[in-house]
Amino acid sequence: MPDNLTRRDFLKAAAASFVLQAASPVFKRLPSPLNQDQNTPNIIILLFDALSALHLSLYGYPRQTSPNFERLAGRSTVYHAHHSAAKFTTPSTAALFTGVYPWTHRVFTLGGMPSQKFEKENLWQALKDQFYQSAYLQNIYADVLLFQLQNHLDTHLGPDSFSEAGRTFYDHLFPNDMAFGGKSYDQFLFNPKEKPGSYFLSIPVDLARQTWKRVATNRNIETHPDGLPFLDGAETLFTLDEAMGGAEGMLAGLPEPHFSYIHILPPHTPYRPDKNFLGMFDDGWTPNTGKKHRLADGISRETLNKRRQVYDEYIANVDDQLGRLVDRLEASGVLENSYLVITSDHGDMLEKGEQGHVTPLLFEPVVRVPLLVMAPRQAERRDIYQPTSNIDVMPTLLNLAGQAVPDFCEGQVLPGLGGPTGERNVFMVEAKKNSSFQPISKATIALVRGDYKIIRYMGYRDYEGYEFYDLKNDPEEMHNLYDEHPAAPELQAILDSELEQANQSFEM
Amino acid sequence: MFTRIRHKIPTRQEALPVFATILFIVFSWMFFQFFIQVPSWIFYMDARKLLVMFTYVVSFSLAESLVLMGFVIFLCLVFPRRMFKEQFIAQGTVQVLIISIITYFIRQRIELFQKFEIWKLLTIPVVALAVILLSVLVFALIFSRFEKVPRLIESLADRMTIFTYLYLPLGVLGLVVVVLRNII
Repeated sequence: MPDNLTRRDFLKAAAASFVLQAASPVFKRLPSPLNQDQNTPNIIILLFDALSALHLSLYGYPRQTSPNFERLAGRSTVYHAHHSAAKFTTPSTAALFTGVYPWTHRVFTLGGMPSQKFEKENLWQALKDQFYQSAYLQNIYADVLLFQLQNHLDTHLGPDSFSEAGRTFYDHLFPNDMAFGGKSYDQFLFNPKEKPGSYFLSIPVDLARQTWKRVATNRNIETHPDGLPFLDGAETLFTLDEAMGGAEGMLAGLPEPHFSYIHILPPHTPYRPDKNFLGMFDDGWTPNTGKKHRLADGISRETLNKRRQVYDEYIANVDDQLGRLVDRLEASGVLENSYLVITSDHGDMLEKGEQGHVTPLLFEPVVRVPLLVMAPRQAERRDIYQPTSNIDVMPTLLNLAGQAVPDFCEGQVLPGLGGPTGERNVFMVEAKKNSSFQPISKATIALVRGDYKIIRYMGYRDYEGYEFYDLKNDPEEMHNLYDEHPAAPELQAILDSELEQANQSFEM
Repeated sequence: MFTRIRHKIPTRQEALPVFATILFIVFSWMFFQFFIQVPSWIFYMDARKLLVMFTYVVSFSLAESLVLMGFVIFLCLVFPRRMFKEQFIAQGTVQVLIISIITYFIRQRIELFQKFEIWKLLTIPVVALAVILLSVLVFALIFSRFEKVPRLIESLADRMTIFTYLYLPLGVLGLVVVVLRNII
């Protein structure tokens, strides 16, 4: 240390290093030049949040919830056992964007951030030199996550772009630092769900939100008698019609080839179908919701079936909008040279005493999601029954773009689009109660292999152990065969071994 | 006109204790809520990310304090000199405390307001403003009758100035970081 360093000098140096350390990402954020080939097809991912495959008539659901999905399936590759790697948005979309399971990307919580390695190694980074990139996400958690995974989006529409009332702060105030803008302003200082960090100003902001919410609700009462849908965590009201129209507008004006990601919030809660769909499934159907699971909240069968009816109606509303959007995109020529991927990030479960996806359970309704891939000028339907995962989306898209699949990817190219067709393991991870920097110890982990599924519950106070289901003969997972099925020990060994391997680098 | 306004604007010596009281309330609340959240944030944020979060919230708290200070100065401009400006430290500090109490009560009932009609919602800020204006009159009267009261409040506000030396630099430092992170 120099002899002439005074206390004042030391304090100045400390303050300067603090500023430079905290501001360091700014200096790394520079757009890269494009290297685009005009013949490369566009890639469009259209993701509907919380859309369970098990509630689509496309996959055999008794209510006619998805006639348009069925129509589009006629010229798509349809995946019948596609699973999300997690059961809520942030870890699931992180898996989609990075091609790895949550135990690798380490996004476990709603506001979670991926490990630093994946800020550079992800789908967006891989495609940025080849494609014009655009995104419109209605889920603020996914939007904030996306900002951490890419340095430069050519077009970005914030979650409130087509809203009726209410605004998010981060995408307007901090377009260059949305991750921290969102976490500090929208999720802390003005958080409408918890006590906000702002003592005074959060009150007028909240009163203004409430007032605009009433105005917008009253204005749309005829089309939405149960109220308008709103963005989770932001109190921003919108109509599905406007959101889909906005997505269409964005896609229509993009230079080619483009990679576009559209993340539509419906049918995520609150279930708010418009008047044309409200009540359409008031058919008196009361499916058996099964026995309450030991880790479930214990919601009554009546409530679950009531919720199921509105969820199904909302799905039918989404399906209708999907059909219109695809028709319009076709008419305008946008789909002529585009791969269209239609999927979801997770489902909702309305059985076994549990509702929604805020649950430690990993049953099929909450993790099995639709996946349709429509290739340019594809005319025939192709069905794939082999289990697949949303971590396969990244390698598949890279393959379609003519790129090699990077070594860090845990997913593989989807069967039917150039990938292998043999039996494989598909994992699902729910580890919300774990630190991203520690080994996984309190979690639910599931493995699907062929027709079988094993679920491990670990670290819960009231329940630990394994469950085993035969998905072919018991698709509703009503009968736990763990103690009697001969395949259970093999799947258990695979599951435990993979978890141990994932935990290895985090062991102290 | 401008001379009259300038005549009513508090001096730096008068403004500092009131601003210190605001900083104390705004930052104490923010720190309290921030440290409630930290255990969940350390699940996925390392020290550097936590530091960045901290800079965002302290810079906002500084801005929030300035907005509230602006409101107190506005009240000072609205009322006659002898009612506010002549006892700015005492009257300003009391108004900050009253606004804090009103805010606290509204916050306690915020979920109830979600069921209110629009006209009911709109009455909330009107009633709050009326209470503040009325309290200025009441305290102006109290201060004119009981000389010890404003002195007591002034001494309390004076003791708050110590927090200015901690919170103000933190807020400015935070602001620098936020501006740097967002300029490119």
